[in-house]
Amino acid sequence: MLLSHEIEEADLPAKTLISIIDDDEDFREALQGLMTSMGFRVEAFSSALDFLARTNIRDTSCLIVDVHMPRMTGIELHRRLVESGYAIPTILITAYPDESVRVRAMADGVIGYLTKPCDSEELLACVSSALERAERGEHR
Amino acid sequence: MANNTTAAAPEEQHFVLSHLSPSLAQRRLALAVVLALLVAFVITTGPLSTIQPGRIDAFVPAYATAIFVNDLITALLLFAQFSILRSRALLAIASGYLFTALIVIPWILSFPGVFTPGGLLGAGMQTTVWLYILWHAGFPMFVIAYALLKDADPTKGVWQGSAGAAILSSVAMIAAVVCTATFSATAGNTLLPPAMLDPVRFSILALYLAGYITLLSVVALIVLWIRRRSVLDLWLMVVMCAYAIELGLTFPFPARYSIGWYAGRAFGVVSGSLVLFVLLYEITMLYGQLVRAVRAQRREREARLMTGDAISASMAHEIKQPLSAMTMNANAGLRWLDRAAPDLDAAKAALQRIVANGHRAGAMIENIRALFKRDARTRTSLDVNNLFREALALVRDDLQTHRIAVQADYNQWFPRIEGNQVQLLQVLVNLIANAIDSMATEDGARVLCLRSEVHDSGSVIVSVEDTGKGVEPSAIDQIFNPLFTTKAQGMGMGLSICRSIIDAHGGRLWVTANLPRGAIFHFTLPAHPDSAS
Repeated sequence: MLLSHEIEEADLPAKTLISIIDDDEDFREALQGLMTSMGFRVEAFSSALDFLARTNIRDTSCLIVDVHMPRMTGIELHRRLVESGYAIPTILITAYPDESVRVRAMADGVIGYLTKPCDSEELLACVSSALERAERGEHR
Repeated sequence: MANNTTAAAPEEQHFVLSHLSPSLAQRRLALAVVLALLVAFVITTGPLSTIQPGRIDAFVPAYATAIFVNDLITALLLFAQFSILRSRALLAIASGYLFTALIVIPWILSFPGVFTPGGLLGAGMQTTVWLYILWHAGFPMFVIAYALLKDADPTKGVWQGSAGAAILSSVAMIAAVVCTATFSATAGNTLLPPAMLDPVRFSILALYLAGYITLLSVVALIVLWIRRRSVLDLWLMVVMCAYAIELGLTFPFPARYSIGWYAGRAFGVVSGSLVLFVLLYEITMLYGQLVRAVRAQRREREARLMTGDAISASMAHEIKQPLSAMTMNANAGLRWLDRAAPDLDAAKAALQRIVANGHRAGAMIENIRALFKRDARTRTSLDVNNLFREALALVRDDLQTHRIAVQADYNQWFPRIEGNQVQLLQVLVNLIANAIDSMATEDGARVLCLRSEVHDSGSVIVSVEDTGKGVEPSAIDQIFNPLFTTKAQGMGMGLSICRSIIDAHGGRLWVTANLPRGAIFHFTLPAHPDSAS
């Protein structure tokens, strides 16, 4: 077993969809590959606006989004989703860690604030936590 | 007043109104003021001429106070400019304004009806008017002296002696002249030609004298016009126009307390205020320029100090992306292989992405190295003394804040070096900033020493020496490695970048211990080929 909080594929609901948003193509592909290797269904987007243009936003069980992106940042996307009534558990990833931003993001209800290059185990622990909250419907 | 023993350099004088050429807007404004005065003159001598306002008791003291305050402040500001620029012409015009400020004192004291019916100081009926004549004849003569003492070359006409002594001498001389005039006009008032028929009406002699003074004002105006160059010249011409118009009102209104007399006094206040307003405007503009220059210097210093951090932050971000992708892909590949039924295709795809990520990271590092190389190609012949001066100027505030003494070894015979000025200045500023940080928390003497010596083989050695906490022997070999830092903040890229810059210049950067405490950073640089001998 690779990870202490590994999610067995048999435990995954059939409709578990992870949405990944990052403007860096290499990172987006790598993260998509990692999530796919874990058995998740994955959709990847290069911008927050592309994600919002989807018609089935509520299908996303967990959102992993880069903080610094052109036109709309990850934090702005999370706030837009909350204001629009979409309770999607969100994990933020950034190459520019900022403590004040992290505190604000966690206060806004973000599940995790990770720094690139992030530890895969830590990322998957956040994903597990996000999916548990989504199951219980506790995410605000 | 400034205590400088040398006059301002010619290039520095172009910021002051006594040398600054007037702009088109200023010329138009001056013309507008003169036209307004002429219009006022016409209105006063025309439609308003029949008005008999009578005596207004508060007017004369208020007028005298305004003249005294305006002219005294103008004199002080002009003396202050003289103390910096050492221009004899400025000393002359400053003395002129001091003269008008001081002579108004006996004028108001002796004016009949202000303090006593006949005036103080033992004044007679002719005292006040003759003081007025001396006042209005004297100032144009100072203006003529100013115009004749001006020179196109700002280095000529410079006072070579002590500015303070010149100012004190001028003040003493003017005070003596005013006292003599006052004594003559009071004690000798019975000997004065009659310019007043009675306390209110002027005599024919007064009109002739007014005509003479008007002519003198016009002569001053002409001399100024011929030698006009600066903003001060422009506004002094306006002052002389106002003087001539003021005196011109004597002819149609040869009596005190007439509408023309009041208008003339108002013109006097205007003419007395013009140069003062221009000087105050200049001071405000210079203050703004000074604030902007200080801010720009501070921003440049911060930018230079932060260049290392900015470069390292940019490098970190660019490299983090492919490194993050590599770890993700590696984890994904391991997961694919660790399945009960390993997915070899997916694992292979993950490994291929790792290869691509690695190439991308390598390409980014090469781009950053190329940036260093490209900048380093811009090399010129540099004076190490000037590099020291510029670097110390950029960190002057920090040196003063932390009370650090500086010993800089300026050697005028030192050979010039070949290098990129911006990068070498960045190295010096970085090393000095590290030295300041090292000494900031230490007790005892805080001394920063900059030295330069000629090395054999045609190169030079520059040393930055401090009396701070020094470098641990175990860290001496690591201190130039990227990311190694002993500071709480910062990524430790500064010394690494300094070494890269010196390496790119064909030199070497290293550190040794200073005794009894502190560190010495040395770097070598090649001498410029033209000075290698």
